[in-house]
Amino acid sequence: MKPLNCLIVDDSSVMRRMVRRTMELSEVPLGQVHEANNGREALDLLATTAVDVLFTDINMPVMNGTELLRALAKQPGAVRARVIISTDGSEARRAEVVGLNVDWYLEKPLRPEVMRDVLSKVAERVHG
Amino acid sequence: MSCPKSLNASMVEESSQLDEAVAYVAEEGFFASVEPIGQVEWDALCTDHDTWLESSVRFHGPLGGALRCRLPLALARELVSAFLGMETGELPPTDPLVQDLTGELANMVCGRWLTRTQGQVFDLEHPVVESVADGHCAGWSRYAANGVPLAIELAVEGR
Repeated sequence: MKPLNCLIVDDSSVMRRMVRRTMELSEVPLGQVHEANNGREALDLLATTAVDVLFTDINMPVMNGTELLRALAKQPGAVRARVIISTDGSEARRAEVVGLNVDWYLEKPLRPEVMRDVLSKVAERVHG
Repeated sequence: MSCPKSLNASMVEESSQLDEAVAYVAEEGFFASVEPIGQVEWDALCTDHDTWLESSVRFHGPLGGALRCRLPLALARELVSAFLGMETGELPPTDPLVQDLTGELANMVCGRWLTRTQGQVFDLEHPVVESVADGHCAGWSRYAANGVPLAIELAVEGR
């Protein structure tokens, strides 16, 4: 099985570490795991790097997660799966990202079994 | 005109929701056991700690306000170690991850509380973390997290 290339976008270094750790615990084969501090950095990285799955926070400086997803909505092939990981799980916030090709909306703190489930489904999608 | 009785009931409900948010974040994110405690127990637990951190996160939306967390440095190190699957001793007290984790604790508790009580869109500012002199925090909600003191203050503007 081809390992998944991933991108974690969060302005908190400890949250990026936590997301990376739950990914490693999932036992789904991982390739390159990239990190970005905000949406702008993520877009710059995606311009030159192939990524299978994007995990992004919403509240971030410079460019937030909604703005990042809006930019990526114009590039449907840029990333195979788009996942939000946010402290804000309200229905109102979820409604804001409808139409932005979001595959999963997860709440912090993130449970390892939830990450395993998401990565398994992404792997199925990528490998057909 | 608001009714004092219903306001009290609302505040009790919000306090209960805050307890739920603290317990949920501590248990799900940090594998820590949390229980509300009173002043006497708080004072007893505080005597073991002389280095404290405080994180605060402001929120804006249909309501404005701030949530603050105050905890001993020892608890912050323990939580970040659990969070990242490390041994507590591996992490130097000055590691930036300790401060970052303290900010994220406030961020996650605030987000959980807003999601469960308000259900509307809020913007949370980046958490601010600083060292504080002691655990003195009159009027805050107090907890024991793995037997270590943790205090939370939720301030909503206009109340």
